[in-house]
Amino acid sequence: MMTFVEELLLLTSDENGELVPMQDDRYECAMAGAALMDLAFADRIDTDLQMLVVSDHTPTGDSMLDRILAKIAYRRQAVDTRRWIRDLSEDEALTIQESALDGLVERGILKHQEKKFPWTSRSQRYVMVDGKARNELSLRIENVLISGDIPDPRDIALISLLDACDILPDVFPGKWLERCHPRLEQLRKMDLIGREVAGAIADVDRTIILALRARSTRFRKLLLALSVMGALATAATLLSPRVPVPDRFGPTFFELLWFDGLWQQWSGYALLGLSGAGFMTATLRKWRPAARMGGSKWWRFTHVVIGICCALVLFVHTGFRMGENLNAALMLSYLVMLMFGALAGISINGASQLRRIGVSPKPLYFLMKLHVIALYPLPALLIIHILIVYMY
Amino acid sequence: MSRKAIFWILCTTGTLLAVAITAVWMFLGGDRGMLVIGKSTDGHHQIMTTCETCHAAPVFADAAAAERALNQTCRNCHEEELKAAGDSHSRKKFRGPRMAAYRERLDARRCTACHIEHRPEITRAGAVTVAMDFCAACHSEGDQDVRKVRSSHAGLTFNTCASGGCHNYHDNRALYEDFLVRRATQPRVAPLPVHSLSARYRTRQLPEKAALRRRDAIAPESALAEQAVLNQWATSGHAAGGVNCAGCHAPDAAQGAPRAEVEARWVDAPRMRVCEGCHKMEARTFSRGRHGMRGHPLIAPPRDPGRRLEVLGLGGILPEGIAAWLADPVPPTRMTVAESRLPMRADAANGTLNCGTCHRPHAVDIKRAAVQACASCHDDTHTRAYFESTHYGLWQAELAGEAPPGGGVSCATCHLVKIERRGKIMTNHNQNDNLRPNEKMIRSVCLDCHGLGFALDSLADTGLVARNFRGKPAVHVKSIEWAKRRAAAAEGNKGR
Amino acid sequence: MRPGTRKLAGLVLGAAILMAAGVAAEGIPHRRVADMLYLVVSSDRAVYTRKVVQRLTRDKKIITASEHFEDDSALPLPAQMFRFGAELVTDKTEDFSYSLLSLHPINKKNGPGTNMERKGLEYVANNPGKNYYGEEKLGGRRYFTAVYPDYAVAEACVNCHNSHKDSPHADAKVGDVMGGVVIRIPLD
Repeated sequence: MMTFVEELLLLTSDENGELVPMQDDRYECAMAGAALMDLAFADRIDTDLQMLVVSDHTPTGDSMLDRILAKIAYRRQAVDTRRWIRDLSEDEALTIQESALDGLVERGILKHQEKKFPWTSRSQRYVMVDGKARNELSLRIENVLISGDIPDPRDIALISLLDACDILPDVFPGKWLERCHPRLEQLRKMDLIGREVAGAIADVDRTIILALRARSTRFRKLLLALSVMGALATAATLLSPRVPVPDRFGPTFFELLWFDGLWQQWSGYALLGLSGAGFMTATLRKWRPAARMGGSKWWRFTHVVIGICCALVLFVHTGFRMGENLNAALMLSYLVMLMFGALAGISINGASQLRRIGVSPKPLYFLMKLHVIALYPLPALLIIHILIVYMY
Repeated sequence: MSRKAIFWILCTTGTLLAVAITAVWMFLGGDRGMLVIGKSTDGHHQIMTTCETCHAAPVFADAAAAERALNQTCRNCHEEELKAAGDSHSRKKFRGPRMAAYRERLDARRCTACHIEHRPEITRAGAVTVAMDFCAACHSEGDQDVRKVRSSHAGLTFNTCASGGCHNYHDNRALYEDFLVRRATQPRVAPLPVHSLSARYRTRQLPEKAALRRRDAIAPESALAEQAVLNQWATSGHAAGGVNCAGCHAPDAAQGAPRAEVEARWVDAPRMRVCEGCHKMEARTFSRGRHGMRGHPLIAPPRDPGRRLEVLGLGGILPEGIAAWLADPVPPTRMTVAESRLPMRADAANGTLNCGTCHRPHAVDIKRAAVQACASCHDDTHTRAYFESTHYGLWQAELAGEAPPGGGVSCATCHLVKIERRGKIMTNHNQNDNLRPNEKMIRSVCLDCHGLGFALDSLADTGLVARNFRGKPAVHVKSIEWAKRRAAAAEGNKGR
Repeated sequence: MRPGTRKLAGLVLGAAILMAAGVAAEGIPHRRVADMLYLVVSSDRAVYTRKVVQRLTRDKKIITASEHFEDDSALPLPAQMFRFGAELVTDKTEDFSYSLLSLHPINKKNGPGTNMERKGLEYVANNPGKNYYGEEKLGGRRYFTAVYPDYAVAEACVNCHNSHKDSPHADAKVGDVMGGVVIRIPLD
């Protein structure tokens, strides 16, 4: 029997073994929740009104679960489930995912593939062996959602976890899900699990909902605000007339800024450095040692802040001048890249705000793809831009 | 292979390919129009055929060397005229340690301190790319503060130095104080308004002896059959100057060659270099002006990718076909009317500029070349207004014999000025020589007929210039009064 | 003077000066090099003043000398001839430079421009027969600077300086120190 973590990973992967697009924090919370549910079903942890405590210290045999168990047991001061969800989602989501990957490989569902191309960012990848296991699992859950049969308690727990994390629509795209609301309600009320386990699971779910809500009210709003700022800055750069240099013998500050070779080099290389940093924060997030350095949310925050800085330094470098010929192409593709990034940020982080103003709340993950695609002409244009400056 | 890997491969190859193609454009050959960072000035746009004409530094030269080379190319073409203008701020005046403090404010040793190309946004009149109050850099402090040194300048701002018809940075031949004082009392129009060099040119004696007649023409039968052409030639300056058909149509034949040889070497449409062979000064000046600057000898030839590779030690790695494909586009050697940035007649768009554009090959008619030819392409307000101007009336009078030679004012009188070189009068075919700033025209043209004050006022009135001087100047340049007042005051002081 | 002649004069002057400057490289002290240069440039100008300008204008009355010599078809003034030579030198070399300056210049451009120029000009004006030597830093480079008194050697100099509308004084006499020749040699 697969663990919750493994089932969750399988459900959130597509037929190629790639994660379906969804918000990172939801995914991380789901991972942490699944691990706790595994422990709860194994009767290792218990929740009382406030605390999450270890009820049985016997190892489960799963090294990852045992590590988490030890971690919970080791903590001197008992803390509540919410804190554990937060800590585990931020610190352990990746190790949980890794162990689940290993588990699925052991079960022959996934296949480990070493890198084939030296320049691809991920050094190793996992692919579905035949996708059968995933289809079976997905069909089973779909069945629970659609039919009126009495389901397996584990499936109810898994569905409630997916629901709590609000990733059901990501895993099961399609309109039919909306019709399943009554059934979801019904499933929630089914009392098929032992009380302790049910309590723990309900607590995990509730906690996840709370944690996610907390995030959406704080971090998500912050990201949304920053994304809006980025979009506005980019739009301003696209639409504003250039800032004129004063018609006064200088050298005036603006004239130096936009027409002096040395200043142009400084601001240009600053922009290049910032853009590189922006790229790194987006790619390093997936690189394990870096990911362990901080929760993914800090990487995302930094990425968005860098994006805004890019727009600002772009102004310092150009003063809203679009340039001509190849320079114009560079400027345009840079701005398009920034704009898609900002729009993706707005769409993904601003679901509730967008709903309020009557726009489809569905996060548009393709904007993120466009953000990445718009990035591709940039290296060539940048190299040419720099070459032109030094050649002529 | 996964989709992601394919994507990465495509993107990396795409990037490398794009950079490689651009590098090839930059270093070997090919059209580099896409690399231009901004529209060039009106003065240089027609010679933007090869970058190396101005960007003359070798590849990978350091910034200082590149700038030196760039400035050298400015001087290659402009030094002569600056010298002739007695450049008030010549480069050499700013060299040497004494001027170090001034150089820090504005390094006037470099043309590029004030004139940078491809910067349309900051390009002002005269292709100046610094703010027009640049005089303040040096003339606003201490002993050089003109507002203190000249009481008349006390309340003036520095953006009016060059805009008011009083000063130019380079050419002040008609603006310096003593010149103003000496011509302070000239009348608006001279009692006998005649452009003296034009008058002398039109009344010059051609050598009578060498003149050829109709019957002297040596040409193939088919050419001789064209009676109209033959008649035109017989009455032209060419016949009067002893230039037979073969002189142009069989330039490779020996002088005085028999008909057989002339026939053998006959060329129906002689190239422009045939004209250049005799009219050297005209051709030389033509190639300095905007009509002919594409034929300037210092225009860089197109790059040869093969040779460039040899320099890099990679000679012969390119197959012939690819090398030929990579070669720079052959730069046009003649300006076309369509490429002009000035308003031109639509029906002239296909025209190119060579000797024949203005001069008919047989009936070499300076009257046509002086007005009609100009108006057959140019279609701006100044040109159109000319035909209603007093100047045009005078020109017609001269043509009709009602005004003395040189008494008429054609387009060429002002724009293709007669000059005297070693006692010989010829036409300066660089029509830009005295064009901008327009005070350059004062000495070479205006003062022959008009007083300095009137000329200064007229040239400073842009509306009047557009109307081709029909009416009276609405602008008054006070420089003569100021100069007179100062001279009188000094006289009084010294007298005491 | 025809342009060709002017060029020739400039060349002769330039050659003499360059020869003198060449000596500096051999290890002769800067001060002696400056003294030698001064001798060359001042002698050349004295010769031009007496043998060309004075002779042809005042004595023979063949031609005039004028500030606007090109427009007036006249001879350049000795001070102009001196300045043209100095400009030609700065155009050709950075090894040394010289200029003719004054505390009361007709052209403000030829007034003292640096502290040392002012000090030197005041010194040679107040200490007849003495030269002034010093070191100064201009545009990031150190220079040996020598200032030599420049006397009104001829009637023509005095007349013009007294009558010119831009001249700050009207009472100069022959033999007065009118200004100074400043010679600079870079030290590094």
